[in-house]
Amino acid sequence: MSAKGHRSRAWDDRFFPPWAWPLKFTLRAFSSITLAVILLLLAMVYCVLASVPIGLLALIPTWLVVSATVAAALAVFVGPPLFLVRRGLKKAPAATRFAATFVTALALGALAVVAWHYAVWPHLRYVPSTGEGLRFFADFVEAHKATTLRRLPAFEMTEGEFYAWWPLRVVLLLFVANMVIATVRRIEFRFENLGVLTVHSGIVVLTLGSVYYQSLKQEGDVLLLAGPAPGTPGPVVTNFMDRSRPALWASMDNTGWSAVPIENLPRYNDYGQGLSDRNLRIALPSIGSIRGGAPIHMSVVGFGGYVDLAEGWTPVDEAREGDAPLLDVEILSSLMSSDEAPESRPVAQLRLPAGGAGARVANVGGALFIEHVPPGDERWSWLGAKVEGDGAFALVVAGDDGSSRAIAINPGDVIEAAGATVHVQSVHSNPPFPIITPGYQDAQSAVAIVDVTTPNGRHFERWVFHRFPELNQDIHGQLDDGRPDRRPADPSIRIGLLDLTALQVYVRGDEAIVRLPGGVARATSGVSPRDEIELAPRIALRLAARWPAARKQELPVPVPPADRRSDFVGTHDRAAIAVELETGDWRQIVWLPFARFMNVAMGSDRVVELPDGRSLRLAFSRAPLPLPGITLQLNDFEMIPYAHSDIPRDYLSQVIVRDGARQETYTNTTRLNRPLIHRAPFQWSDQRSFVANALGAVVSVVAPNRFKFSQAGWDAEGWRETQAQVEAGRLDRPRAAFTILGVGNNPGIHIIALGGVMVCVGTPWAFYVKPWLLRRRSERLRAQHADRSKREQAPRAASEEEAVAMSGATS
Amino acid sequence: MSRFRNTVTRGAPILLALFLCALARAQVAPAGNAHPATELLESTELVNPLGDPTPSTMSPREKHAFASRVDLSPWRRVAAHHNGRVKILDTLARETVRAITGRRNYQDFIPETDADGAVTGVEKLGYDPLFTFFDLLAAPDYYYDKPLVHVAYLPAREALIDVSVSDPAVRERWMMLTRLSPELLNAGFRAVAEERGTDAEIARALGELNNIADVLRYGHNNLLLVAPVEGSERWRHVSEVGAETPLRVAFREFGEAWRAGDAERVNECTERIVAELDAMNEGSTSPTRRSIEAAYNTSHPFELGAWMYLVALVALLLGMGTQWRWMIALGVVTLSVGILAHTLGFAARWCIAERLPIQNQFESMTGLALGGAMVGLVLMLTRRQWLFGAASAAVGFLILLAATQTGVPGETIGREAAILNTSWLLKYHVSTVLVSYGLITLGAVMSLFYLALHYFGKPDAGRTFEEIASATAYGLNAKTTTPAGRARLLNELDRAQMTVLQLAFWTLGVGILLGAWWADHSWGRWWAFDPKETWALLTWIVYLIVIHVRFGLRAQRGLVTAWLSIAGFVIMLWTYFGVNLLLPGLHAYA
Repeated sequence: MSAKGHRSRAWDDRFFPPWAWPLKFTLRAFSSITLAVILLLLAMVYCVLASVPIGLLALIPTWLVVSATVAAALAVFVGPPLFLVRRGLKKAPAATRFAATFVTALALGALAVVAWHYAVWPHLRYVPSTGEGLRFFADFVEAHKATTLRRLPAFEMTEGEFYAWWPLRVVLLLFVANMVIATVRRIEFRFENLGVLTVHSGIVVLTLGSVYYQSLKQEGDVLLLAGPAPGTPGPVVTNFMDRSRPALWASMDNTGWSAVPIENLPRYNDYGQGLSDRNLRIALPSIGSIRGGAPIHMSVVGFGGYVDLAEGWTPVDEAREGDAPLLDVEILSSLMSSDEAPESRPVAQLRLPAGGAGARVANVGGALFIEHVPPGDERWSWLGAKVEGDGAFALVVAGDDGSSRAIAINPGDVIEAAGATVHVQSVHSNPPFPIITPGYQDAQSAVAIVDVTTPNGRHFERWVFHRFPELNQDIHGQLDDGRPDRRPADPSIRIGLLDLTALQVYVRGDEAIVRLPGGVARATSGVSPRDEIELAPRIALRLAARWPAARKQELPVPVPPADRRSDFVGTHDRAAIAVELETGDWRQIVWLPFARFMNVAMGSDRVVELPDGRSLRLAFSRAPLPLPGITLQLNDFEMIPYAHSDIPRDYLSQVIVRDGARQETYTNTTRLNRPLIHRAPFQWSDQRSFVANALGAVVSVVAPNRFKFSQAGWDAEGWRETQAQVEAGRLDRPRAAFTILGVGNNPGIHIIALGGVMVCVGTPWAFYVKPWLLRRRSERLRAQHADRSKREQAPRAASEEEAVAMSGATS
Repeated sequence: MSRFRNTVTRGAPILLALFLCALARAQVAPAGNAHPATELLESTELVNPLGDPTPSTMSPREKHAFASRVDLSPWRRVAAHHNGRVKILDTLARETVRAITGRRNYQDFIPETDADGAVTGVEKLGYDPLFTFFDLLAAPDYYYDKPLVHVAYLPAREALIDVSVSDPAVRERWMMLTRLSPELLNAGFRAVAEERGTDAEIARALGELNNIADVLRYGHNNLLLVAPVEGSERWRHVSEVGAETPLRVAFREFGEAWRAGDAERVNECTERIVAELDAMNEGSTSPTRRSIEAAYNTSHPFELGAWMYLVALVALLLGMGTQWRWMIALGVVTLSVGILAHTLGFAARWCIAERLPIQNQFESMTGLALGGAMVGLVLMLTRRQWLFGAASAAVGFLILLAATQTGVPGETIGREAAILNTSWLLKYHVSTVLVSYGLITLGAVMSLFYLALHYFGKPDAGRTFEEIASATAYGLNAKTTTPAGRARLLNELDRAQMTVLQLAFWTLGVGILLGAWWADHSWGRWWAFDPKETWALLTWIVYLIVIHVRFGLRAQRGLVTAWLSIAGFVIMLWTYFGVNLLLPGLHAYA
């Protein structure tokens, strides 16, 4: 400890009364370097937890063991021979001994590593696909190899938010306090200590600057669209989007958007609405009321961190038009095990609505089809009918008299039934042309094309669908324009088609019909959710749950973790939120995908019909922030490639800037590493006191409110496409449809820079100048001491000479 | 040729998927923040100017004899545009062969048999990469059953072999070779893709094989050998020159002669082609730069430097331990040669790349090794202590060995990320940080010396090792020094490690702040808590602790410093490699 440190401790002992020992202890603790080291270690641990996935941290034991095997190999290969060599050369010269030891250790060490590589490493090396090799907590590592602590549901923070969280702030605050107190109590304020004092002061200045910076920091980006034609500026932009703060955008009857920030919205994990057991409810300010005065309450009740939105069916309490019954079907199988009976754990779970075309049929590997049959008795009876004859398909023909027959068919067959004559033209496993009827597009079903002669002698061609009898239609020759004369199927002669090529299961409510390939059908009713319906040996089916009404709506489908792009995780780019709207008894939930920029958010907004008939348009994006008194327009964009190639070397965004405060308009070209810098002038406001205004004016000089607009993104795809057109001679020059500029201010950056410079300048002073000064002082002291000794010795010598002379004279 | 085509066709869906992934990624990454992707192929719609290949009838020995008669030296300095820059054909050939075979050159293996026909050994026949490059263009069928394509991922290699090889001995041989024949790939690719394509690592390996298959099929597309005509920016493919021009005719004849194994005619055609190209490309590229590139390719300066450093390290350590002055002299000379080769390689790369070569992992490793080695050399000369020289050699050897032998990305000279290209400040930031990393490595080596001496340097009978070491470690003029004990040498080592660590601490701090300055200037945000930033700060904090912890210690300062220095080095390694490879962030190019 320095002399000043000892003096400080002595001062403590002298002036602190005994009862103030806690204060003395605290003061001494904060004067110690040990506390500084502990606090720095705590900060390091915090940073490690913030940045390293917990799955990687779980790999540490594995690597310790691997390292231990290397050390063991070295010990075994190198240790004993080295011992023998040194014993053998005990009497040899030291140099020889050293050389022999060194060379032996080097050679055997290399040999040990090679041996380890070929003999041990292949057994330790972990292969994820087979699970062979050594890896402790392999499943945990695999599941969390990209999961940092801050991504867990308890945190849900960005990197910046985690670092700005109170635990680290407390640690850093204590460290700064520790440093200030230790500096004052331990370091002499002398010229040679200027370095360490500057460094410590620099860290304090840097910290204060950072606090100021963080409190006023604004950051985000802005997308500027190009004009409709080359040489014309794009739309004027007045706002930019906050970097990470999400917001719900709403527009009532298309009267303009307003944005409501969503605080504490998760980022990484799924919440609510069937995505997860974790619930979520973030109440948002009301955006208005319905006619009649009842406010519309809005809440975020679901969140999907990385999802695709797709149409799906969800149960509803009250049925309305378009709703349909819903069934959850489970398939049980023991084909992959040695058991004879199907395992109770389902191998597949299917949700089948009775509505929709494709959704009501599940195709299980082309061998098993399960259809949730819509309400209606006649088709249900046909599906279970006994088929006469053999064939891959069968027709069921029913007439007005209530009679019906199910007859196996082949192309060319002629059937007489219900008084009608049916001639089978052809039968197809799938429609010969894609179905284009709305709601049925591209749905699959067997189709029979038959010629029908009704009992009353009318003749037409009919297309009969296995799955969709509602699509059956008659063709009565051709119209004048040559198109076929299509008409709805004549109800006097009803024809159904059965597909006997695969195992077919038809279900509805608590009933099921199983039709084996070839045509044998077995009907079951009164099936409970626990009952198993045998389909084939070792394969069964369970009607696990059913709902009388379900509605088709957009639902989130989580993207499998392996398919997720790491740079999208946590950014909301692939997230969706469920927004609940409620007023009176009316309630609706709508899922909204994320739109990064609202000026190109086509297709990501959703419209909700309110109970009063008005429409509310909603979108999920980021919070807008006003540009600092300026507007921006993209005038032109250019990508500069490296010579003779298409590889970008720079990007130039020519931007028209209109500065409202200064009443001026200018054009700036922003490029990589050369941002547009706008210094927002300090605005004197009558709403502030004179002192506040004056203070603000001074601060604006010391720490100006500067905004930087830096090149952050561009329309690479559009540029590539237009470049191809240029090469084909169809365009003069390539174009980009947009450019993206990063926007950020840097309040107090000069304070931070000052702190940084102090650290940079103070360090070499402390390391190199101070030792030189001390050395010089010590040399000077030595020289002074030598002079003094010389001076002291000179009179003595003179007196001695005098004495000698006197003695000589005397003698 | 058709057999190669099969491989490509079968792998097309995976290739397409990979391409789409790459495309999607490119749209989201910050503009200019990533290095341009390495494109092995220029295009896929060009005619092979060497004519259509015909089935090869040459035996390996005939091929090798033909290769020895062909004079490819005129080709080496021919300029070619590839992957965004103009390089020499020798470089293109080396890159192509390395991409395909995973090694520097292709080798044929000929079994040696005794009189009874039993295999007694294997004769290896090596080829110049430029020969293999042309051979793959003119007569690719020769390689159909040869060990040509490197499959680095072991499970993928096993799976591909298992599809068509049942004999355990043959299987083992293919496994050891690490390179598979196109025949094996054709037979196994589809089956492996279907059975194990859902495994991300297998899918990645198969994707890489698809790229290789593309190079095998369309390699001739890379013959962009004709400089742009006035008013155009694009280098032209040989096939874009008129079909009956002397150049095209010469190329056609070259291909025919090559397939016929007529070396004399090949050499004659080579002279005609090179003369034509010289005339057409006159003034388009610097002959000096092409010569430097050729010298860089053939001299392997970084590998030469690495081995020189190793010799220097061993010699200096032995010399210090034995007091054999000739050994120390050997160490100093080889260290100087190593640094010279290293510096020349760095300078040559600077000239070839037309930029400061510290922009990717390989380049930054060579840069930081050079920084560390030079500082060590300067300290050795100014402090007159051999230990600094040994540490300098250790730094150079370890880093250059890792850079040249472990396949770190960036060995191929390519274009830099646009964000790096447009800022001088960023160059200072990167180079300062790299120098600090070099110093950290140097300090860690000094600390290792300290720890070795502390734990293993026990007094010996007669003169101790420490006495001998200290006598020679002190410097150039050992006669003026006096022998000292172990404690004194440890004290000297402690001072040495602190000298280096203080310098590392300062330069790292300055480097971090220069990066912050650049980030504020360019992105409007001085600190983003990017993993690289965070870990650079953590590394700095370790040395902050080193400096402060010494104040609180009454004993074993050197020992604690040495251990903390090793810890700091490990954290620096994680910052330098681990963060790049495992944690996504803004420093994509580092």
